[in-house]
Amino acid sequence: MDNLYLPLKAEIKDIEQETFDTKTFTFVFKDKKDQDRFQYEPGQFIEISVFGAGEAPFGMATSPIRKGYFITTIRAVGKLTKALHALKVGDEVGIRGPFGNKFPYEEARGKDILFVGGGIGLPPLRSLIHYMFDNRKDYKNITILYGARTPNDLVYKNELNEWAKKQDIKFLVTVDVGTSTWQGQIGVVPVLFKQIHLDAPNTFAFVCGPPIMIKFVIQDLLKMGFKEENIISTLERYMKCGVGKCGHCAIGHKYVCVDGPVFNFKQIKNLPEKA
Amino acid sequence: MDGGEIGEASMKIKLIKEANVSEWLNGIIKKYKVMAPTKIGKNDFAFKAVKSAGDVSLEFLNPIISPVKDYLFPEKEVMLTYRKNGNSWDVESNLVDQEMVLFGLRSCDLAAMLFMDKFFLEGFKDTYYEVKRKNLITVVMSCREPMETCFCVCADCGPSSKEGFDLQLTELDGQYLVEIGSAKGEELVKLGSSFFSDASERNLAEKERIMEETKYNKFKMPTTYFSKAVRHVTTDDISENVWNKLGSRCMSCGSCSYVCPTCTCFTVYDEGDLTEGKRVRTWDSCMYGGFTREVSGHNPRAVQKERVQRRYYHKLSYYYLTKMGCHGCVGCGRCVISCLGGIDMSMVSKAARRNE
Amino acid sequence: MKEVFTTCSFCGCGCEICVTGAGEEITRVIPSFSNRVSRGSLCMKGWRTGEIYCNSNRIARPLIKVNGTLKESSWEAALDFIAKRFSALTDKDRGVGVIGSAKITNEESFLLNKFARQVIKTNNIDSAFTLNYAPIFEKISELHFSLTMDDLEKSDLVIVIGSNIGVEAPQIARRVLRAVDKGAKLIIVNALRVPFCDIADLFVQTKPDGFKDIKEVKSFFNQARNPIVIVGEDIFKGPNANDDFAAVVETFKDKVFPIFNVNNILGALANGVSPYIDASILEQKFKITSPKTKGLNLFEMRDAAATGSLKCLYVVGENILESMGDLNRTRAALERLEFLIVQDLFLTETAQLAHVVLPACGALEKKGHFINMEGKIQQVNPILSPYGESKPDGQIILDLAKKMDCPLPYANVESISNEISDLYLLSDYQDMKIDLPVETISSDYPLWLKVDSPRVFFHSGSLLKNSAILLREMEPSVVLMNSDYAKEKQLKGNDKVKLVSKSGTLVRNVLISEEIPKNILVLRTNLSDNSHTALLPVGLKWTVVKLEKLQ
Repeated sequence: MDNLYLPLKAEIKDIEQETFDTKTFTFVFKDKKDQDRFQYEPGQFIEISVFGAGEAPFGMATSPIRKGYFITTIRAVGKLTKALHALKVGDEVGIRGPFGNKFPYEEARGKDILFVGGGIGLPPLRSLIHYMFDNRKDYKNITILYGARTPNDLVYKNELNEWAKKQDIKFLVTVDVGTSTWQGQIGVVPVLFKQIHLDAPNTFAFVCGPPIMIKFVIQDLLKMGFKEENIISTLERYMKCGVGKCGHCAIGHKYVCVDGPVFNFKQIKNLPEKA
Repeated sequence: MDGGEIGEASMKIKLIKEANVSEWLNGIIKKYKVMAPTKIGKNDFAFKAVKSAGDVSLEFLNPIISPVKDYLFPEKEVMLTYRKNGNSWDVESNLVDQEMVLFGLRSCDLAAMLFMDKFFLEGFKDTYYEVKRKNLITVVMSCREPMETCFCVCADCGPSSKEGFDLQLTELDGQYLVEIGSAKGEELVKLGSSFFSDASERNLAEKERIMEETKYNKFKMPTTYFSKAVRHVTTDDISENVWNKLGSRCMSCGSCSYVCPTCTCFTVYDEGDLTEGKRVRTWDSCMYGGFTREVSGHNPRAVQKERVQRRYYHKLSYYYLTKMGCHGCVGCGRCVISCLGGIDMSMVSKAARRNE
Repeated sequence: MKEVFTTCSFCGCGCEICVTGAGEEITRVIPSFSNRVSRGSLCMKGWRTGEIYCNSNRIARPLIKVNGTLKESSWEAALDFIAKRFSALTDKDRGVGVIGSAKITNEESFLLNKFARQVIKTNNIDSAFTLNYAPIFEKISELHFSLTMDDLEKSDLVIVIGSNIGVEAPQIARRVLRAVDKGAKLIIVNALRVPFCDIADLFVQTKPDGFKDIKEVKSFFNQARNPIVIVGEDIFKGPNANDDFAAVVETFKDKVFPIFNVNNILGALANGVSPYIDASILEQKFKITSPKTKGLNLFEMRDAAATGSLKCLYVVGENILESMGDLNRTRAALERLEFLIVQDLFLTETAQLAHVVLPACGALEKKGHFINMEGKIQQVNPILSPYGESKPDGQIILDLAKKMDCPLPYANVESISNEISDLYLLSDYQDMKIDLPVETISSDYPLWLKVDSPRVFFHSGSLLKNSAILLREMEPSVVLMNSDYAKEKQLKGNDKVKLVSKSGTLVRNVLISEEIPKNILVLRTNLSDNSHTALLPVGLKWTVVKLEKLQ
């Protein structure tokens, strides 16, 4: 009998220090068959185990088209994440998944795309961004707006430079508070809206970041004329099992780990908080 | 009430004299693992593995922990064991596949099991539930004397079950009517075939009569009118004041979630250290603040009143009727016994209906 | 598979729990349905009992401090070391004290009492009873334990003074709610709003030191048939504890039901773990010939330790560095001791300062009795073998006495049960007043500060924080303040402030709360650090402070 809760073994192939408390891990399943079989969609997440410390969910940050490895970016805030950060290349972890639902990239085909990411909200978006890069002709204009508190808090710093150079997308980055060496923009992410031109009714917006940022960004997007079903975000909830059984992430009878974490704004509005 | 009420027209019925039940049960115990009600401590009851029919106490009060929950989804369960091995780990999950007979279940607990089946086995299949449920044989004992706190009739779950059991026994005068609900049940009957005789339509009618009498005369709890409560919850027309009062009584003990046989929330943690240990799951309760608190510190149900309200909105929601064809509650009355704050299902239903 | 019925070891209600185990693991803990106290229910703490006792954080072997670090040792070495130190005490220089706790059984408290007075020959023996219920001593002759939980349920008027009963004693709160559902009136008298105020018939919001002004409640009391008055920790550990409690007893007399909110603190008192027990009683009842010197209570022991006149302290189960408050002063006193022995299950803050740490058994590993807050005796039965090399506290005491060539006449701890079964009368104590600090707000310290411990904070949290789920319930330690007061001081949520009391200081973030009166601050504590005790003059729950804004 297959065990829903038994993790598969995966090895850490690479670790990048993104910020003082955030690292990006590259994993490959130990068993090649597991790696070959592993298929996921942008927006989905995996449950990573460090035995003795526990297990927790993390969003995939890679596009599923790039096979052979997968990446997730993790901030050290609790027991499990701190244990992960203590590991080295070559160490093993347990992985279950993929779980959750996907970004609606199919419905977004043929439309303009707007990504708005804040701080550690960029990793889950990256999965979809790379997917769209890999399927570039399916999408019209792609705009990526990204912001963090300070320049040090930006993740994927090298990659951001590449995005800035890409000709087929528009990429803007900002920080709340600059440093002496920062030559880019200063201001909160919504400030970037003034610098871009959007065809709101025909654009899909994908927003990820701190709850406060999401709230203000969505307010602005609605004012601009975005349709509620075309504003996509991910819901944060305390999650445990990842498979809709333990009850922690339940909102009414929906489970963020099964019916989400990707939701559009219309669905979010209608979620029965009381139940 | 005619024969068509019985359910499956093809369900076989038999009779067994009370005096022969022990020997029949001993025959079952020889072949299967059996859990049955036993007396424990000074005056408590629990379903435990029995070595002989003499250990069984059929005059039992339904235990505070539902036997189906205790067996299929126990308070603590080891999911897997791990041991560090160089850079890697040896990880094992011990799935014990065994046959088990739960003898003497009450109809409310059978209904709870059918509910848990839908929850644990639909969508993703919960492995630990599935492996135990696969080879579980249920023998229900209809209720002739409900406890003071029972209200299964309001949830349409008792005092006897309509379907879903392998065997159901109902006490008639000096004998039991045995309804055979499945091939597995038939196997059990075969183990004591010399004790069984065929039952007649008259016996069945007698059983129905006795159950109706029990329904109408023996239940002491005021009628809970679930459908009305469900309607109020669905239309969300219960004043905040009701929830404020109820919420202030909740002491966050979690007893309701633990004793409720349709509550299935759990948490998972690793016991041991980074070199060796086990991953366990234990019951958890949405009544605890930490149940939904995120790592950032944000808590979508930060206040006790919100948690109490949420529990009842969840249990009394229309969802169960549409998706599962039953209420979220089986009327076993355990929350009436255990709630420290006195905010049990029956009381809350009443408050929801009356909006006070 | 083994199964045992025993008594819960956390609060003073004393529920009966049914514990199931396999090998050295606890697989299930459920309430007894038929038991009078538990009646099919437990609080959050009781349900998690299994996670607490078989836990790898337990101390498995005796520890001896070598060059400033505690190192594992053997029982032989540890007891030898202790015996030598105790035996070296001369009559002239008998600066030794003993502190017991609520964690140990009646039999063990009895043994500790005998050990202190007969073996190490000191009357300096006390427990957290003095710390938590000192005001009782003034009126101890009026404590009859004539009221029970069952009486509560039959009451027609319940007055709750100075307690958030849902947290302090959940089974008591359950009975109060049942009484209310049957028509009883509920009056709450408190300085702060508690959840039950929403369903109370009357909420009298007093000043923190103003419980004596409760005239309006008295007329309701006089009209009721079976009134009961519950008294809790905001009185016992309040800023005017002695006077307030005395006023309550004078007004309500034998209808007072004090909440002894830890599981066996009465066991310590009843078995003479106190410097206040009558000497003649010790002689007649306990058959102890005690030394002639007056015994010190635990505050006096701390002061004596600070000056150096108390040189040795034997602490059994009490985390005094947390519970005695006044962190800096208490730590200094303990650090001055020449010899500190701590006997406990986990390496508490007090144990970390010790010269010798002896691993004790928990309630699931020993046989004995507890006394609950009603004064009723309850059975404790083991299901686990002692963790690692730990031993029941009583056994350790017997072993130590034998090592000191002064054995106590008991083959084992169980044999004591019969001897002491009818010893529980508090008339062994005379009425007397223990001096407690009386606090009041002034221009220097214009704010009241209440220390609000989380629901799971019993036994200084040293047991309960070992459960993952109970620890998950912790919220950050912050100071709650009234929104108008915050506006006046130009403070908003998450600002950092410094609280300053006469004993110490503490920095915390602010949380705005609507429910708190303007001149009161509530410090919400959390199990991970007890730095808040620096603010408290003794182990009280209330003190006075001033507030300083920090940038």
